[in-house]
Amino acid sequence: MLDRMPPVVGRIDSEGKLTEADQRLEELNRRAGGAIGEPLAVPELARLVRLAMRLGIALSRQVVVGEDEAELELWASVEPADGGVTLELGGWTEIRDWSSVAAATRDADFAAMAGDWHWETDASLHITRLTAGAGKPEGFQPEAMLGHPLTDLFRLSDDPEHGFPILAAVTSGEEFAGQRAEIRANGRAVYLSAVTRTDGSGRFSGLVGAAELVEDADKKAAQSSEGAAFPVDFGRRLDKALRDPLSRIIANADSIHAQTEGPLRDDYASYAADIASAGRHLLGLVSDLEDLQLVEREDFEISPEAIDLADIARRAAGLLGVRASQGDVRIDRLSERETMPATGEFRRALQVLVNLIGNAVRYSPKGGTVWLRLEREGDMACVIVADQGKGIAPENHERIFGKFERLDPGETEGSGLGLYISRQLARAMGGDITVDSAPGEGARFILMLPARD
Amino acid sequence: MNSLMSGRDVDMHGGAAKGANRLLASVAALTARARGREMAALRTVLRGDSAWLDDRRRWAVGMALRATVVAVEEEIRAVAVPQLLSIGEETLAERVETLPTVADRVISEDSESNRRVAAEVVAVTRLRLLGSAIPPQAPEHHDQPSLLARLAERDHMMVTPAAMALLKAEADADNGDGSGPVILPEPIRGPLVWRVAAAIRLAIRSSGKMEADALDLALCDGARRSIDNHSEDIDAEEAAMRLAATLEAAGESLVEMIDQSLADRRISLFTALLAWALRVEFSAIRDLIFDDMGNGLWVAMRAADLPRDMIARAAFLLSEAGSRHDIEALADTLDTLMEIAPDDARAALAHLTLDSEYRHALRALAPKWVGW
Repeated sequence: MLDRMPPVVGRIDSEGKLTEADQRLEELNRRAGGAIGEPLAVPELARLVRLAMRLGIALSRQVVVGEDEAELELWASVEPADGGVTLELGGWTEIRDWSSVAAATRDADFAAMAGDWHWETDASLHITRLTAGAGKPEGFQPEAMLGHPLTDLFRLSDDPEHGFPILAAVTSGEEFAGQRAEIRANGRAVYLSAVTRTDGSGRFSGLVGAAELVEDADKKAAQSSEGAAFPVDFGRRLDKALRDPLSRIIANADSIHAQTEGPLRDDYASYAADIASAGRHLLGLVSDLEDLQLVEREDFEISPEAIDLADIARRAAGLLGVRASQGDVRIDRLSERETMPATGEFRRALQVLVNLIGNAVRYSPKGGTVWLRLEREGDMACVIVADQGKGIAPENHERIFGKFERLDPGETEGSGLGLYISRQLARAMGGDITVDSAPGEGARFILMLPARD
Repeated sequence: MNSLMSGRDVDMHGGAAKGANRLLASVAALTARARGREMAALRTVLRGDSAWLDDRRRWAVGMALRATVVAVEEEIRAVAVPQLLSIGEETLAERVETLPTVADRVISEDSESNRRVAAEVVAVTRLRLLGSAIPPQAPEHHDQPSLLARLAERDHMMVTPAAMALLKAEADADNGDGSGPVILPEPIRGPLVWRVAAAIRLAIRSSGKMEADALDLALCDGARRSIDNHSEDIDAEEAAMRLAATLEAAGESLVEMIDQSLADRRISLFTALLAWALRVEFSAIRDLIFDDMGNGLWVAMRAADLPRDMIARAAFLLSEAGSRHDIEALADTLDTLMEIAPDDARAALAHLTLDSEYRHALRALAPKWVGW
């Protein structure tokens, strides 16, 4: 929150001495060991003053100064005048743990998620950026509006309850959402939302916002009130919000672990490996949650295509090759010549087999083998994934396919969603997954999909 | 020109001091330093060993490079797959369609061509990130639109479309974090397209000669189409150069525009205006912006006859954005710089008016050449 008090002013002469100062500046200077009539004692301010005098222009900059035990963030403006300079300080803020800059970026990210189209304006509310996302409605030509006032693009509606949220935002510097408006070009109703951009001194310098068609927004609201497990675009939002930061964490941790910048102490390198692994784990959870909300939707559909289960099984085994050898487990692959034509969605079938084979690898003993076999059963094409693990008792055969189920409470890997999602996917493709197992006898998971002749 | 370049005490136009000579001479090794950065760029992207690239920038460059290559790949596939389907090669079409991306394989190859791609992506990304880091300046009056908005709204036959084209190109290019794909210049893009097509070919196993021939043809068509489609491309840099030319033709003061463009955080426009004023290529000025060891950028601004306060303002904003120029050093040399006549400054930069491909080729053949 910015300090709304009037700016604090002082004067410095051509020799760098503080000749006049408002009380707050005088105090700040005194605590730094200076006094009126002597050189400005706050180092960051003195540096800015000297630079401005040599460059001969007005300068402004955000400055951090220490005061007692706190740190203050100030906006400092210096302007040459009469041989010396005037110094103006504003926006006094005490620095807390997380920086205000990061908060602004995060706000902009949330605003971006609020709609499909993104727009930006300068301080005079002229459009400087306009990107139409998916599903651009007819008659809407974003390019033609660039440079024009925002009100040329949208007719803003006066909301009897809330007035003009956008006006409030511009004057107070706060964000707004739910401003109703109409696209002038085709009369479609939209909701607008935005965060404000300010310069360092807190002056308004533009809006970063999004627009969402009212009919889409209302549809989403209706769907979420129908009791679905997650709001309809949860997956997409999650993806945007989590994937990028996680990818960055993993990439950085990987490069630390690989010691690309030079040698590291061994334990630091292995911490980095832990970080990368935890990052990957989280990314896996994000994927699982996304898939979960997708398969739960009433309108979830698979686009069926001609696939070869043998090819997909070979690919899945290939993807897991490294993980298998790390656990000293062998995957006994199918021969190149085998085929098993079926109907399903390539990507989803691959996902299911990676899940099944991955489980088999995880539960295999060291030195063990995972077998893959193909079989035709009536009008179903089957892939059997067999492992030599500890096996699953018959009373648990249905439980393991439940949501968030874990047979082993100590098991930390995975989200407990893999088999649930896999079975939902298999069923959506017209097939199923079954298990045949008993304690001490390993397990055989069978993916069945409609066969194709 | 040789005497200016010798770097020794030479009396120019009534006694510019040693300091001025030194400033002018520092421009000399610019191209060599640029090549050095180019060589480092590929290492940078692959193994991350550049001082400039902190984690965030390295991530942005990596993403931008990948996005650039993936974009090429998508275009080739978008032509090859329908073509294969139309001749009945369904299995082959499906293999091309479902093949995982070859981008990583293409990027990891250590070659001159790849180095140039990486260098260009690094340069474009770096400029974008620099621009977005310029501190926002609120205008004196709220109802005064920003520079580009003003130009776009103006209803001038030539300026308005050029300004809107730049606004659009910048909007398209920029995800806000510098990680979007980069439009590569023609001499650099062509070789990349062929390498991507070859990588796709090598990743697919075909059974029999007929299949192999069909695949080769489809991929070649895809590659050729991708090259042709992009020869008309206008990226932000190109749009900025066109706007600069249009503004001069419309009688605007380029000097005024240069000052306002940085305040409006339009670094591409700033670069283009300066480049156009000096009749050099956009990449030449871009190189100067990144030449933080040299004073070339200040000499260039002097050559464009910018007054003292504008040079100071531009230097300050760029330094605040993180350009790594030593602002204190500039503050010290500013008076000396202003003693240089614009014509002398121009003469010192004369080699930048030569084609960048020519300069690049000279450096590639003779890295230690002491010319310029």
